[in-house]
Amino acid sequence: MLEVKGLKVRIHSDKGVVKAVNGVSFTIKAGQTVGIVGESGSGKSVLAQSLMRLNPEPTTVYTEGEILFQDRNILALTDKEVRQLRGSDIAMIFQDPMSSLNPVFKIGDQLIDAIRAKQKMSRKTAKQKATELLKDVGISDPDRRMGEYPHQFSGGMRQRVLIAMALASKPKLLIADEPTTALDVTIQAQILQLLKNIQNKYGMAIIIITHDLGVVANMADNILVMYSGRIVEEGSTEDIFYRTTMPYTWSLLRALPRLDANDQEQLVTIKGNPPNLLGEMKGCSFYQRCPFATEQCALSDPVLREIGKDHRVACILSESEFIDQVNQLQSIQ
Amino acid sequence: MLKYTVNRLLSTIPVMIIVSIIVFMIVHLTPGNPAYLILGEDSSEESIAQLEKQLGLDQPIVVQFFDWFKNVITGDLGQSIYSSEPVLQIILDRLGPTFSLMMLSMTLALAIAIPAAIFVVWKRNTIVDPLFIFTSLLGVSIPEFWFAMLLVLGVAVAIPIFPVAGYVPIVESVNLWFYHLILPAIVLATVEIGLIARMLRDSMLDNVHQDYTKTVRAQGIKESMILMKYVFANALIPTTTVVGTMVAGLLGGAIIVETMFTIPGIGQLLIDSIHRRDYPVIQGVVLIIAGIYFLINLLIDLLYTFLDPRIRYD
Repeated sequence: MLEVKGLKVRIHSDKGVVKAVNGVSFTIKAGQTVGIVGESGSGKSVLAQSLMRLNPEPTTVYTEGEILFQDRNILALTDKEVRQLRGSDIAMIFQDPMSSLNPVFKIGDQLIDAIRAKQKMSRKTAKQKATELLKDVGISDPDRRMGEYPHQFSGGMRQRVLIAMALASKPKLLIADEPTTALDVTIQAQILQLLKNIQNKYGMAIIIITHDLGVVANMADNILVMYSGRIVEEGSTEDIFYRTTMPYTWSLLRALPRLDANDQEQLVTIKGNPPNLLGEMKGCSFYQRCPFATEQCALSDPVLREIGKDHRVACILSESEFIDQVNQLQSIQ
Repeated sequence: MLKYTVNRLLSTIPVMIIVSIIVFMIVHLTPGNPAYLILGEDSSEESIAQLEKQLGLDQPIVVQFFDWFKNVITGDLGQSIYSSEPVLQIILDRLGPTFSLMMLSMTLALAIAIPAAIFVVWKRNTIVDPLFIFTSLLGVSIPEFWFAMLLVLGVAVAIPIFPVAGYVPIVESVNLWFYHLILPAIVLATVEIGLIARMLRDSMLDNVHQDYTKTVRAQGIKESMILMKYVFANALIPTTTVVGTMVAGLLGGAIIVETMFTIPGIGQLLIDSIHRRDYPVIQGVVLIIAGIYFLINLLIDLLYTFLDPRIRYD
């Protein structure tokens, strides 16, 4: 349904040109759930917004590649065609529910506007539809709450409203950009459960973008791991969690806090910072922070290669070399 | 809200008392003698002294203040030294032209500034924006008296389309009222447009890339609708503040413009009574202007609660 081919995105800023997305390719089938995981600054949000061409233009330039949605290249559409696509075919929910609703309009009016933007219907019918949508996302007493303003809603409730808005025209693809990052842990679980429920009911594909592997563990069929604007590993959720041979994914997984760890143990982190996407890139972008880096890594620029069925990794280490390295590291500690 | 309004109104009382004292002092400590001005240069010392006594100006200043203040509390602003008419009546007579001028220039300014700002935000990444900044700066910087003279020279003297000066009350003839007021209104509106449009553009640009605008953009809502409805509504608070302050300022009289176009408004009254050392009128006008400022500011604050539901005073 969605196919991204060799996408490159450049963002022009005062400090220079940010190489936000550097040759990303992936496919999403109808009804599938795909997680895109990466640190802040890995280009995942820019990638997600590119799928709807929501990055602020003209500072954002799509220099190479194609985004094919149902065989139409989104990057080649006119502004009007993109607008028609937004909301009805592809919808998006954002990271911060506190600021993603307009503070000066009532919830009901915002929802009705979202519905009527895509479907010709009277205000009255749209209002009924809005009530149903709010029920679907688990907001009780929707008729009363439609007359309230965003500041009268909690963060979790606002995210539910935003999900209801995204559902307004039954999109075929829902992009959730860090949908739970700004929420309490208990609310996070509720929102993720809600996303699963609405996927069952509406049957759309979902892309979940997150920096938290825990979020996608139970949700995603497939996971893409992003680093400095590239996909460094892609595979099924099992592949990523149990069969990774990519040092970056491995480091990410190791950095997850564990409930069974004893109190004295320090949390494992990945040392250093993600590379500056402004500069010239040479060699593997994870080279400086990689625990297994060799001299060759500074020179070669690894490309994704297949190591299992639909499991691809961008690293020059072979599987056996990787396992050796991990064992070696663990024996030292 | 009612409680808040009452509290605000009550809180103006001490401020008004302080304003009264300061105005009275400034007026009375300014050199110049009304009796001397009324009687003329050739008058004898005795007649001046007699008139001063008649006007109560021979009393100690503190006594004079309390005599005046006692009356002010009861709503009596006294009588003009110059024309013996009640001060309140004089001011009320002058409010009409001033209010007319404010309404006309403000309507003109809003009718131009709002669409201009929206258009500029719509074309924000083009040459339109720097052009707009330049033009609005020009509008704000043009000296009123110079621009007024230029306009009069152009469309009242060289090509006599509009009258050079004067005022006709709206109750006499709407057409003549408009005909006489349009040039001064344009002069005032030039500055207002510059300020309002700039303010609106700035606050709209602040909102253009907010998260909630991204939400509606992702819903496929038209950019024009996004700007005119969502972004505009969120940019209204700072703009309302600016407009409100301007309205209050204009109701206090546009001294230069009223003088140049001989419009019998508050500004002209103030200047005339200062020239005549007409103490009660000066004091009355300043008190009324201060009162108008308070009222307008209160109105703006109350208006906020309609513009932004998050603002509540109780």
